[in-house]
Amino acid sequence: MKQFKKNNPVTALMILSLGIGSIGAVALTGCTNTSTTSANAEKPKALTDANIAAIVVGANNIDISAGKIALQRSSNPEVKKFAERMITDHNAVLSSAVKLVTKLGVTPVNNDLVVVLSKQSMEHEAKLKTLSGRAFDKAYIDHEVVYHEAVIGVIEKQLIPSAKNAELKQALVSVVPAFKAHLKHCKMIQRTI
Amino acid sequence: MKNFQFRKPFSLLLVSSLLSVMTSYALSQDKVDKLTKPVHKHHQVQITGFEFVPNNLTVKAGDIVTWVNKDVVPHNVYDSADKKAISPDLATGESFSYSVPAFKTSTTLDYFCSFHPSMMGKLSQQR
Ligand SMILES: [Cu+2]
Repeated sequence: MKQFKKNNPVTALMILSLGIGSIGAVALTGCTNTSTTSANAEKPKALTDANIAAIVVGANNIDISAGKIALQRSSNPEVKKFAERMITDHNAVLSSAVKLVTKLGVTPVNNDLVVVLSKQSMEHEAKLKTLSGRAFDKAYIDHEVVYHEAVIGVIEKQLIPSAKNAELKQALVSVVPAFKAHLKHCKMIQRTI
Repeated sequence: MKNFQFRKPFSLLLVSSLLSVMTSYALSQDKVDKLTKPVHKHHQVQITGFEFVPNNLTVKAGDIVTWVNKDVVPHNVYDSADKKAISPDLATGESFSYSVPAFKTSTTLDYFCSFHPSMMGKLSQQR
């Protein structure tokens, strides 16, 4: 993790898609850097609509799951309110996504990115469950910032360009503001912890 | 049937007189309104893509502002100054109408969504 510098041109989504870094590493690679013009960038594998569906479902479920842990373990009212919002909003986004892919007849198919996201989520949750108090709040919120940044990157740079079905593409475009609003929200809380 | 026929002239009379009273009242009230009441505009603010659209709305006291939630998640409208609710929580498709009061201490009413503090908007009043 330490070898990643802030100005490393490797973007978050490439690390995620190549499955070579943890989400913690993503934090240090400057995911705010939206440049994709890295010379040593490898072309990500083409995603099918079925893969995209699986990634959307997985990404929402991961944040709901972390939110539930935060509701149990945090005693910071702002953190709890945020966690509650993550559960409500990502459930809403999830159910509208499920409704759409059901309508389109798309059955989600896992790919490398889903596997990486799930593995990182399990590690993160295991760590969260050992923490309490301010240490917990910091670990949860810091990760929420990194996670939302990473997911926004994945949706904008991989999912939207790859989506074949126009309705699916439009749904992905319209889900980005939710993740961006959540990102701003957890950054606000991050400054207070 | 017998009862009905017996009552018919009375009911007809009653209905026609009621109608004429209502019509004349409606017409005269309409004229009075036009002459005496100020025009209250209705405005709509869409809540879409985690934004209030339009973000800044110029209003007059007495105007009606309706917020409509077009997103898949719930939102609400809170007063930024006193942090009190202006609207109840609005689920998808729900709306809330607000009669704009005369702003006393400022020319704007800043508001936000308590669920998503990055969502902000304002109503502006000209003095
Ligand atoms: Cu909101």
